Amino acid sequence: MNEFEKQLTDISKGMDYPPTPDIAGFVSARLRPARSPRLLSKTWAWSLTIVLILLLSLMLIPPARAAILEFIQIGIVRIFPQPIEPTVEPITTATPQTQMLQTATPNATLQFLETIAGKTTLADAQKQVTYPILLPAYPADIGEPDYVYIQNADGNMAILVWLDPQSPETVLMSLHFIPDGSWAITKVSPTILEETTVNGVRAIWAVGPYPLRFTDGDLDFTRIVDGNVLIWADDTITYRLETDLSLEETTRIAESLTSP
Amino acid sequence: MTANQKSPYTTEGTEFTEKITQYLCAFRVLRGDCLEPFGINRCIKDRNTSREAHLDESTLVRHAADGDTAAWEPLMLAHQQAVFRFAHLLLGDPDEAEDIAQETFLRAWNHLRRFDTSRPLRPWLLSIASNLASNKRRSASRYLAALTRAFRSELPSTTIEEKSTQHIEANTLWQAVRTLDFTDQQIIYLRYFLELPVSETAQALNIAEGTVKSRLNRALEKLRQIIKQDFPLLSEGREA
Repeated sequence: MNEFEKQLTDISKGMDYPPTPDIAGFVSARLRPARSPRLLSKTWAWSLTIVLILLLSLMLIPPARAAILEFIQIGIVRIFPQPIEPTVEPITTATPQTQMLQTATPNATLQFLETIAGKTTLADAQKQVTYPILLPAYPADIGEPDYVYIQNADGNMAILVWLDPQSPETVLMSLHFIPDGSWAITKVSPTILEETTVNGVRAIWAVGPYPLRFTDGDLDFTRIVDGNVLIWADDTITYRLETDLSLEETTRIAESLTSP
Repeated sequence: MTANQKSPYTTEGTEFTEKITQYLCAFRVLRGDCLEPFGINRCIKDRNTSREAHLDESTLVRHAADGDTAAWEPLMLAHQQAVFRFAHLLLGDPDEAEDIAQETFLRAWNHLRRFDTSRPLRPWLLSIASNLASNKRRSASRYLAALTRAFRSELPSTTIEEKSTQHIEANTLWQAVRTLDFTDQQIIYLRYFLELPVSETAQALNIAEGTVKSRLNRALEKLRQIIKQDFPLLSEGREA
């Protein structure tokens, strides 16, 4: 340790930190009731009862029952199909380029990419996750992603972003690796859903407004490409491929994923 | 119930208390102030060697990973200060630091089975806290909370005059470090403010030890320039 480092250590000893709160006590209190039901407080018991009654009441109403029971699960992603609003023009009628321009200018897109949390390099990202970060071999000239992010959502989630070589200020596609155990996505409402397969595994092709939100409530999951989403999963990872390409092209890209 | 029968709750409660006592002994060993025998010979015998203390921590982690909250409590007591202070340094707000510290221990508890017990716990906890703080810095709710606080009319509990020179100097250094990039701040806080060894700093940041040294060199050079340009009193104070 050089002189400057010693000075830093010495000076930092004088920090007047706020008193450490009883974090252990709070966390212990949060953990214990979950594991011993007899310690459940009256307030919680009443809340639980009310929620159960509400749920049971809703289950008796046919439309509500359908809404509660009907969802599609792929990996950790749960999709709740919503009825299409008759006034909304189907997004499939618009060209992909138009969709991009509707949401943001190219410069704004690049600025947005710079502000996403967890920006890193591909090599560094691979060191931070235990699963292999696969790259598409199709199209042949796709190369490595232009942007790589690692975000912690109870498990390090990798996000790769490729820019369009024909229009370098536009995002071509983004690929998300969501490890098992991450925060579940609870709210999704695409207007068009289609079952398909990726390498023989069940997959979902979703088109349309697609707001996602993690259960944490603190981090909004923002779409990078304002196009379509292909979702599939293996034993431990849920994959989301966002692109404005067709289903056939997107599936071909998904099926070409290999270890670099 | 006859006199010979024990209430299951009493038995369970007694066992729980005994466990807490044993684990608190282990905590004191971890903290380095276990001076009296508490009934766990292993703890007492090995209290002066960090290696053995670490072994004891891993035992507690294994118990906690099996769902034993009584084993998790002393581990939280042992590390809550470091986690809270690290979060406070990164975010500059005690309320947010408390939230982050609580969330850190809850998430760590939920993922204990994935934790490699051959490693020390502290860097892993600090790594979780760092990720949470990083997300928090970008969340909209944080700015709303900061805005709310800005409108509070509470006066600080202590005035500048009441603070010692040492505190002022340390806070000035903190202000200087806060002008650096988030990644540079992280490494400086871990290494010099929390005094983690290079190996634990590397584990907390998920990088190699060699990378810690090179990043530190770059961060220190930036900090040196910032102190020289924007906080000259700090360097003058030290030179005097």
